[in-house]
Amino acid sequence: METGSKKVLAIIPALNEAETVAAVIAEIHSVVNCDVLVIDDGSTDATVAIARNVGATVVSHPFNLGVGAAIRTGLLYADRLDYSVVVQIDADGQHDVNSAIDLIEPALSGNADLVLGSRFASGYQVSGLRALGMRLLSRIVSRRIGVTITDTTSGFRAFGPNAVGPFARAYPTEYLSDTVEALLIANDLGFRIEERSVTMHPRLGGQASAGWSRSSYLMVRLFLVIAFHPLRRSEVQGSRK
Amino acid sequence: MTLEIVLAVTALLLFVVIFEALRRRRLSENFALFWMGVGIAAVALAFARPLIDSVSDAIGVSYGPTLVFAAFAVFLVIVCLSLSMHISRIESQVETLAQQLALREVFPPLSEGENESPSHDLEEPL
Repeated sequence: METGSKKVLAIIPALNEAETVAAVIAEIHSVVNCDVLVIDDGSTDATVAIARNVGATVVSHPFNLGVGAAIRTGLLYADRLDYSVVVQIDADGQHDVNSAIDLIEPALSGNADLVLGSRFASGYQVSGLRALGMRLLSRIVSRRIGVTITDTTSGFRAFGPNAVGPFARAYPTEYLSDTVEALLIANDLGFRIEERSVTMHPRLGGQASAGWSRSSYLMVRLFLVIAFHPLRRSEVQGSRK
Repeated sequence: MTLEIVLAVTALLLFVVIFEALRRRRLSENFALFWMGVGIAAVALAFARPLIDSVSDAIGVSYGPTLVFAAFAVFLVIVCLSLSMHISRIESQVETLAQQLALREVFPPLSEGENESPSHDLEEPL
């Protein structure tokens, strides 16, 4: 994919993803003309060295801060170096890099400020209570922001030129809440939000993140975040760049 | 009944404080959820006198409310302990941060091969 004069940055939050990160970076380089930034969120394995070896810029958090914080670090970097479009891709190889093009394209052409990759179109399936929770989330969030979003917690997304700066300051950092709250903030700021279907791969390595009780807790917290969002003080306004 | 009302009002005040702190972003969602749980438990306890009395009888405590006080004291100790642990972790993280920042004055940030070096950009404070 050619990106013209506009600079595109792929940000990859990584926590102990030494097995898969090199393949992901190589694939990005082969598909999109962009720079790659790996945000190492306190890895204890060879993630950093491997990522540097294949030509990515790497910044390391001195200790684990969570995915949301890693995204914000990536956006801060992009904002400083004036990247127009930032695309967020997982280091575990689940996000299909070819789909990234579909996410970058609307952001690059200025048709959308935040582009989400929905995993459901490609048969991504979750079971039971979790599926119910995700459907409920999707319904509530879609109604709130006036755009139908099927996959609210997807971490495969692209940020357009208008979104990079504000999100660099205000991207939420609580695990799982970050993805949903970001949508609400985007809506507050009048961003155009779009959802595209993306392809998902089975995990190349590592393991899924949350067990049953933790998932339930995260879900409860997520609903609290959504319920309180309209009442809470905005982090974007009043904060300096 | 007066006791119940006092307890319920106290719990309500707790909720107002939590709500306001959450709204001003002085409290993270995690702590807010925890303290809301405490508030709900307090209200439930306020209206559970028969239950408290029967539990006290069963374990040989003659006056029910004493049990509530005892349980509450234990609970507060646990909360303090967990907050101490939390603070300890934050202390060690601040230490790590300060050390890395101090070392950076002597060892500038890595710039590998042909990677763009952003060091000059990052020197101004965030």
